[in-house]
Amino acid sequence: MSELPAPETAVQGSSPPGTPGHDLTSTTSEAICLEKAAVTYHSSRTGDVTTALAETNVTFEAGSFTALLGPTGCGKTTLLNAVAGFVELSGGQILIGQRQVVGPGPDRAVVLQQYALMPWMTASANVEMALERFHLHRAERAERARHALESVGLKNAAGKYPAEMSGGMQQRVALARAMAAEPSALLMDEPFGALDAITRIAMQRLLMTLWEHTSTTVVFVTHDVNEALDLAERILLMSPGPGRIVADLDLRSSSIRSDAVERDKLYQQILGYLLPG
Amino acid sequence: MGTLVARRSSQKESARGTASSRAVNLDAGGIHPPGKGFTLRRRLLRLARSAGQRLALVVVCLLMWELVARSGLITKALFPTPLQTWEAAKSLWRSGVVGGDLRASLGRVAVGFLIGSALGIAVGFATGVSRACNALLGPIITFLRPIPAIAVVPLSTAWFGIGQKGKYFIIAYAVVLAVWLYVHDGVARIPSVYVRVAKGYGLGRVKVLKRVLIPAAGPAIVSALRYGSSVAFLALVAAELGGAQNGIAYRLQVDSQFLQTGRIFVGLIELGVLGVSADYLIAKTGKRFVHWSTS
Repeated sequence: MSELPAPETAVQGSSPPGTPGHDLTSTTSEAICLEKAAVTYHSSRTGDVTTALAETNVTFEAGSFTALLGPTGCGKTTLLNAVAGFVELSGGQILIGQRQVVGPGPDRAVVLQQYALMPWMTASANVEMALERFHLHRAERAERARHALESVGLKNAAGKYPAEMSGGMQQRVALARAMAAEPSALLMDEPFGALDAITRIAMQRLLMTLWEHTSTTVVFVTHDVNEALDLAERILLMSPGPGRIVADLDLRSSSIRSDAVERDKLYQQILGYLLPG
Repeated sequence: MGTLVARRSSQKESARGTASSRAVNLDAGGIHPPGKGFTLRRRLLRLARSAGQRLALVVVCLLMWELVARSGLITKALFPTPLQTWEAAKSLWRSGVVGGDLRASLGRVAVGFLIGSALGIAVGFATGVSRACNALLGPIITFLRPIPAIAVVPLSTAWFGIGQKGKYFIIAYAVVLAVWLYVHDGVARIPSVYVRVAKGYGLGRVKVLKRVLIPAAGPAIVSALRYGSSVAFLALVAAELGGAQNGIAYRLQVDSQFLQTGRIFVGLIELGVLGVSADYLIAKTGKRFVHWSTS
């Protein structure tokens, strides 16, 4: 990967702020707060109890961008799924703003590695699904979906089916769908893991543009140290057995984006955590 | 030093080469779905070739039929040639027997198939979505599945007599079991991520069913209906042999008593043609609804 700071080129197709009509900038972000949250799995076959996520206290500030970084089995996906409401806590609680998480909800949009678009719906229909909860008129719903697709550079793909699109395009639709729901939090589980290196960089830049425009709270799961360093304001390092947070790195005042030597130092430091011994 | 320069320039060349070849690829329309670029002439040629192949297949089959009929492998009087069968068909048609039988049989199949497939789809969804439903109904259906339609005929006669209701019952019985199995399996295999995502965006139960589960099960429903339609014709024969005044299978039985093998052949061909047509119709219609499916 490149050590040079990426030049600030505009992401293809990203709309400038202040697009007329209802664009993606109206998202309100909220803090996510885990209080003594823990997840254990019971195996019905062996009767074993596995601690996927040990008791965790952490707050993701409103509008922040946090990467959960760690190897397989460190509980990063479990933490994300708990916030999403896909897995039940065995203890503690999770708050979105003031509301306790009891299940999946449209205030938390999830973007997964496998896109999870409905193959029987066009790109536009996929995005419109996320707008159902606003109970809009058909025309307005279509208009908002068009805006959302435009903001990810897919103005002309509204009528395409997922099978007719590349992986990068599908993930753009998934991102447009997530942002169209105007979530308080955007939860991403290795969203660019299945993409080729070039598409991946384009998607990372697109995500940064969207995040800067919407300032939604982003929690980003990855096992790629460089990706975490490229994108996040804060990195939570996680470790397996049992899954837990082992380090909390605040990068907001760090110079890694402009100083390659600093960045490399931090890279080595992170590896030191992740590769003990 | 000189070689180093040369190598560097050749590297540049190759780099430029890849860049230009990519541009050419884009020009050639890499984004168009394959198959759109075919000219009308090439398409017509392909159509003609496949039509020719099918015609050749028919001719070969007729020839072999003729040969077997003439060989005397089976007593010639009991093995009609294609021409004799054609004559039998013509006389059956003229007397109005074929029309009446077709009407009667198709009506039975249609009603039985509609009842059976509607029930099969509904129960398939119920057992596919709900574990409790599956625990309750699954074993019952699994118990009934190996019991063939023909074994149900005596019961049907006892309950409904030899009227139309009994025929519908027998056909629907066979169809519901076939359709249920396919639909149940298809619904149970829907990736949970679709439902998760839809629920995550706030879709309620009814909308999840309408917008996610039913379309996702679409390909399985089409397969179920195709299989169900062929089962319906199998059950039709059982139903009509169990007592009827008309119908294709009833005619087969009557003709067999008089050793009219030409007419029997006509009946068998009717059944085959009807089965193939129903399957084709369902497959074609289904494709419109599940055009997004790769299978």
